[in-house]
Amino acid sequence: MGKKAQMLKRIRRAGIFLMIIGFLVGGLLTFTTEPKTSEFTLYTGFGAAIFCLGALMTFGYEVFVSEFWKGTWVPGPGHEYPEDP
Amino acid sequence: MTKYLSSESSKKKGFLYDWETERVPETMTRPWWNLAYIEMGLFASGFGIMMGGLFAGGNWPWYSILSWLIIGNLILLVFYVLIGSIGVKERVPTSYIAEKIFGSYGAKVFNALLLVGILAWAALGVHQIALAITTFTGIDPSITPVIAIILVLLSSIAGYKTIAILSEIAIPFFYVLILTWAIYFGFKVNWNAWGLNQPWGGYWPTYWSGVTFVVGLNIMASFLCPNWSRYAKSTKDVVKASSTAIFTGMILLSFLMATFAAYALTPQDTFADPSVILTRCLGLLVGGVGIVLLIWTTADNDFWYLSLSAVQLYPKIAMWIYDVFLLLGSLVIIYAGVLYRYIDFASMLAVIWSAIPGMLIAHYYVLPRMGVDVDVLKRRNIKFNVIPFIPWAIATVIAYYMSSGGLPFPELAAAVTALVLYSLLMLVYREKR
Repeated sequence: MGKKAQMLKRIRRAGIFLMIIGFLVGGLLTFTTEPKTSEFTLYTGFGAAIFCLGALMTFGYEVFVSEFWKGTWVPGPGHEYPEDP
Repeated sequence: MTKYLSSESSKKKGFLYDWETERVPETMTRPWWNLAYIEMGLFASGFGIMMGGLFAGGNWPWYSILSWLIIGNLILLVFYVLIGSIGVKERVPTSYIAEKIFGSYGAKVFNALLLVGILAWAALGVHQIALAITTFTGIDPSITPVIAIILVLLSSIAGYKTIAILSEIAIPFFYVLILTWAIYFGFKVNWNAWGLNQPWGGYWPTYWSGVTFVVGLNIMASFLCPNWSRYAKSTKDVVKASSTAIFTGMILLSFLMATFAAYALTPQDTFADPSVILTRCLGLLVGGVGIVLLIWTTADNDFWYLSLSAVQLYPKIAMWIYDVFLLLGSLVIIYAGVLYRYIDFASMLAVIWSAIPGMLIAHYYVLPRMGVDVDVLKRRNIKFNVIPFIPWAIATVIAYYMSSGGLPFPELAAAVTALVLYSLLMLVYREKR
């Protein structure tokens, strides 16, 4: 596995971690609050921001390599990671 | 006509190139879950917003609604899989697949009609995003349409690539966080006093008109499936993507928004306004961003489809340039104050679309078995095939009279009529064995 492929793997792992944190804060912690309270707003807002960043890193990891922006590579079946030059 | 080239074209044409005039190569295909995300995004606002609000106020128990959605979606799934598979085979968008039925010039008539029809819904998407931005930021409504078109432009400019990025963020957000919040609000709703058990609106007079509504709302999207399914590796991936997207997208999103609506709306509210529903539940910021994401993921698909049709009309201009002009066009429609009159016209025009899935299925699945080659028009150098316009017109008349008379499934009747008539008429091109 090349350096870029390893980097993308790390990004995806970090993304999953952020999604879990986002879900715990934005999802589960909200059950301890009442709607329209400041805690509710804080948990949902903060949790959503972390979760969305995690989702980008987990599922949209292609944006972190230049080949995607050059239009020469997209992740897909049989071509998940770009080759090292 | 389409050219069959390698990924060298992509290197030359760069990020913005969406394989709009060529076959998508193997190296650009996407995994099935990614295709499902794109499709879920397409369904998001229709089912997440429209159906959810209506269900919360409908005079129907939840199990009836669930059965409408399951029956309606099973019917739709047949169309999605059959037509999606055509996209996998041809690897070109619907606008070019139409050339096989209508001929290269005849397809321009189809694509021009599609442009006129979908632009109304695409502009409505921009308008709704603008209204949502105004609701949660307080920015003047005369400015927010410009912000809305910038957002939609960002996600639709490179076609699949940019739409995928937005969907990869928005879909997990809907299916995990929004779903969790729906469960949270589900516990707060007094279901015995309000919500799915109480009459409010009585939108659908009969059970079957509910199922008909579900089928009618998305049958048009079935013949547009090749626009995304051309990126699928195999038919199996289209089946997995469509089954996942249709059932989770329509059913889950409908019930999810119905729960929010049941919490947020009161019997005094006469309209299930999605911005009001989500901002009342989740606050101005999170609710506002949520509703923008929900509409945005559908609106960018609309503009993508429009641009692909525009390319077939005049292929020398790149898809992203059409995308910019179509978005500016929608801005003009909104500022000119003619959006709702245009939507009335597009709603009337919608009756013509049900015949297209029938003819596509006939062309790819029936005619080859009857000795008519899929590429018959190209081989005989026919640029304008008159034949499909006849079943199209007849099926449209049938759909119109059935829906005016309140009969169930006018779309299905039109699709089947077009399928049968087109198959019979196209036998004039039958090859002698």
